[in-house]
Amino acid sequence: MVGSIIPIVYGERPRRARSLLALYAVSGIAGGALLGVCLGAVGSAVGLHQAGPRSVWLVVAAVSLILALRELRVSRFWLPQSGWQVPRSWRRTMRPALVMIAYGAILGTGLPIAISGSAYYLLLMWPVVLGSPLAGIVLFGVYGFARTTPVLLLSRVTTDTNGLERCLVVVDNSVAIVQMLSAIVLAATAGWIAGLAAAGV
Amino acid sequence: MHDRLQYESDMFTAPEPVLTADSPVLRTHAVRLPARGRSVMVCGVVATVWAVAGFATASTSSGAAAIGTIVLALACAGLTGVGTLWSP
Repeated sequence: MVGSIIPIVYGERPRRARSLLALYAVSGIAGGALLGVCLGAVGSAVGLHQAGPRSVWLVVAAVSLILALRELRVSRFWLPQSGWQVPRSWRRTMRPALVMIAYGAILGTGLPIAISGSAYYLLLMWPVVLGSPLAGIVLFGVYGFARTTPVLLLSRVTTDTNGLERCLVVVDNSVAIVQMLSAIVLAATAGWIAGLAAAGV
Repeated sequence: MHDRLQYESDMFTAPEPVLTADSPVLRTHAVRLPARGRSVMVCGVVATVWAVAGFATASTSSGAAAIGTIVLALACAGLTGVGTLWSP
């Protein structure tokens, strides 16, 4: 992702590069928030938060623990996801500003593309289980913004593709660390929710 | 500008990379995931500690329990977003 998007701004004037990256970040947050509000609306219509909350939370806790083990490659099983990729050809056929908006909006949702992190499935569950469009906006807004941060950070420390390739080695090594942290957060979430359910909250 | 043109030129000849979490490029890192047994143990310990903490918190303050849930959900959202560096 970072290797595809950042080069779009190389060679641009600093102000225009910043504008393009800002467009990418804003559309990423907007795309995520849009998906979040839809999921929250679905959850509100289904009404899971009203029907038997304790059993629902126990299911969420169990799913969270299973996803933690999947994230650490302890258990390997397929979960539904698209194999589609945002087309690189858009950079040739569309204007840079439009490309940034399109990439940001699609990647900000994370849904129509390959899903690399197991925690994403728990993230999809949160707004539905809570039945809250507002929770969906906040959670997926944070997701969309977090998704844009590697692009924003690496674009500040690199000025050409050679520099970017050197940074990608460091980025490469960070993937396993993020996976471990995600698994710990998933396991903590599983335990926390089970604890709340046991206490009758 | 030259650098971008070079990159655009490379795009026409380079094959479309398909990078996912299971791609070989991601499995040759210096930093690796822990062994299976250790992973299960870590998940179990973390889940147990947080279950006790959650039960104790919920027994004393429902507000603190809600805040803890929000923090964990936000951490999940942030880490999931940051962790998609290599997604296609």
